[in-house]
Amino acid sequence: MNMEMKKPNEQQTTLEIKNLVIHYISDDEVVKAVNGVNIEIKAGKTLGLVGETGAGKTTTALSILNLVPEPQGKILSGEILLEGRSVLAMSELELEAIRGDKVAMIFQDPMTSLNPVHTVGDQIAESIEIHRKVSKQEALKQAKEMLELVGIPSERSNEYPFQFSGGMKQRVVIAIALTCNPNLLIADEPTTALDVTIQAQVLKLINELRQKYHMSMLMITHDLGIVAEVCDEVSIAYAGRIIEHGTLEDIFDHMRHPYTKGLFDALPDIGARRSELKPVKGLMPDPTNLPSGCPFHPRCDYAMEVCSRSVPENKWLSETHCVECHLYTDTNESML
Amino acid sequence: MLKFIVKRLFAMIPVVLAVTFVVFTIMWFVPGDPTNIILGNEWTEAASARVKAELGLDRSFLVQFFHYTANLVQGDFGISYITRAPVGEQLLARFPNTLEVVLGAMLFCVVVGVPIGVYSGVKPYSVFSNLTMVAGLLGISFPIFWLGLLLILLFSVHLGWLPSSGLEDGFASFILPCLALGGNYMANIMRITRSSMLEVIRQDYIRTAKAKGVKAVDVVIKHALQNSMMPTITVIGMDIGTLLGGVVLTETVFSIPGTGRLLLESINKRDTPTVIGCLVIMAVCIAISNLIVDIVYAYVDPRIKAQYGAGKD
Repeated sequence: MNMEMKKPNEQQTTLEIKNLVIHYISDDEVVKAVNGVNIEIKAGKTLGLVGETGAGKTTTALSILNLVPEPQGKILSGEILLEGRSVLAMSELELEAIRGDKVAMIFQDPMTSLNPVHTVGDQIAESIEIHRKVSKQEALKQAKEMLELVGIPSERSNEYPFQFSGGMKQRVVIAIALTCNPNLLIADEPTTALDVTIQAQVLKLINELRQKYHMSMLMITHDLGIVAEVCDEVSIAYAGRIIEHGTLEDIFDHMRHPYTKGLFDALPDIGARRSELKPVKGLMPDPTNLPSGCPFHPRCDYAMEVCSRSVPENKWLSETHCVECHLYTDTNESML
Repeated sequence: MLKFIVKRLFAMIPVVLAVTFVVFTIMWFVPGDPTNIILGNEWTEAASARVKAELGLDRSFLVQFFHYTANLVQGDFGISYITRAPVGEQLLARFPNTLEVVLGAMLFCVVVGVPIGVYSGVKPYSVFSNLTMVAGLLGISFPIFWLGLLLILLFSVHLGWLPSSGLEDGFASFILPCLALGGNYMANIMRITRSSMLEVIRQDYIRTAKAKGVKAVDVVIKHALQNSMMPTITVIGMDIGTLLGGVVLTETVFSIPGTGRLLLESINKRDTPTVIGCLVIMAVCIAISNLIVDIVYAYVDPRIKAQYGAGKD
């Protein structure tokens, strides 16, 4: 959107996504997954991408590696700049060179993300072999060190994924992602499939390793608790758009968008256990048939007549905080 | 693993005995008197009774069956009614030909069918993939005897490249029988491999491999292939049985002196010991090929190997 209003760069930018549009096109319908996403991550910073299931988070993440499922997934417009280089303009060879090396991804479901017929050692060593051009023995040695680093005894490198528990598998997935010290780590709901105690361990591990190697990170989640723990900035995604973006403080303490407020209101309050939960009313819109104007207006308590007519512009409220909502056309003060 | 194999080998014994019993019973109830064919024009009541006594056919069903089984266990397949030669010797002379045709057809199926299946599974929307599906449908629909005759017409009669019958020309004489016998099964293997590959290529671990920077070719060869091979191996194993059935037709069309044609001839001549001998050999082949398939499973999938090791098969 209004990128010219963006604050000046003080630091090197690791990832910049501009006005990205991705649709899944099949014979009888068009799924509008991503509809103009803007994302920017500075070197060493962590951005949380928050939203409900179906908000286009994973599709956006996959597009950074140019791995949107083909042939239905089509990147219709936009730009993805990785340290200034356009990912969408890269050849297959260049893409293979950055995947796993410059950018690595931790996937959502550790149960299905590992190849069942290869040992975990081999699966970690593979990316070392590809990107570091070392011998198989050397790669395996480094893979064992990596396993130790994520808290798995190196003797277990000869075992297969089915011999590991869920939390251990996710550690292996993390080891695969971190093994080549990527500049950008994409974590796609890395703890969703794990139980709570393991979640905390895995999150701590990711955070420690990220700081140790000074990586930038895109943390995709629907859990605001995780965001509070690991992120520097937050983008709230809704129906394939970023509807509010800001620092942790901007979003948690000075939220502006009615949807963001709805997300926080939906959290259970331990101090008021007798009060009813307040979910955001209604459902995520059908991505094959998005509402006119602001996609959130049918669910919005503050909806005005203009909301169903035009898509709100992106408005910067401060250096760090922006929102896409008609409530803020004439004011920067909270309307909630 | 060794324990598993030994256990499975012992489990084959009751299977083979059951097959023997079923075949023996069927042959017992088949109408017609073998002495008619043995004696031909010299048939008389007295001669028939004499021959029956000589062959032990005057005894009760159970006595005959136990007598036959007792001999079979010692490796004695009995004496052919027609040639009066030991059935075992005939089988020994003819079975290698059958085995060569079957293994040749199998090799052809796998070497051609698997790569085509893999390719069209990886690129399911390509023209090539659609063409192979049409070819596969045709392949499955062609009966062996008809495909065999067409092949003979084209390559032997019109082009004169390959012999139309017998095995006198060594390797060249195996080509057409293997093609005719394998055509059906290749199509089957191709389709199974394709659908299995289609499923595997969409798995999360394939995406993980791509995200690691693995080359597109290696994603298929190193990550997808091994995972997609289970259904193909199952079909290859099951097809050994069908191939052994198909070999009866193939050997007849191409005049190959093998077990299949021997079986057909002996059925026509009511030569019970030879019929049973042929079928028992085929049953043993199928049992062994199933065992081989189970062993191959363990090498393809470590999860199955772990199960065998734990004795939880």
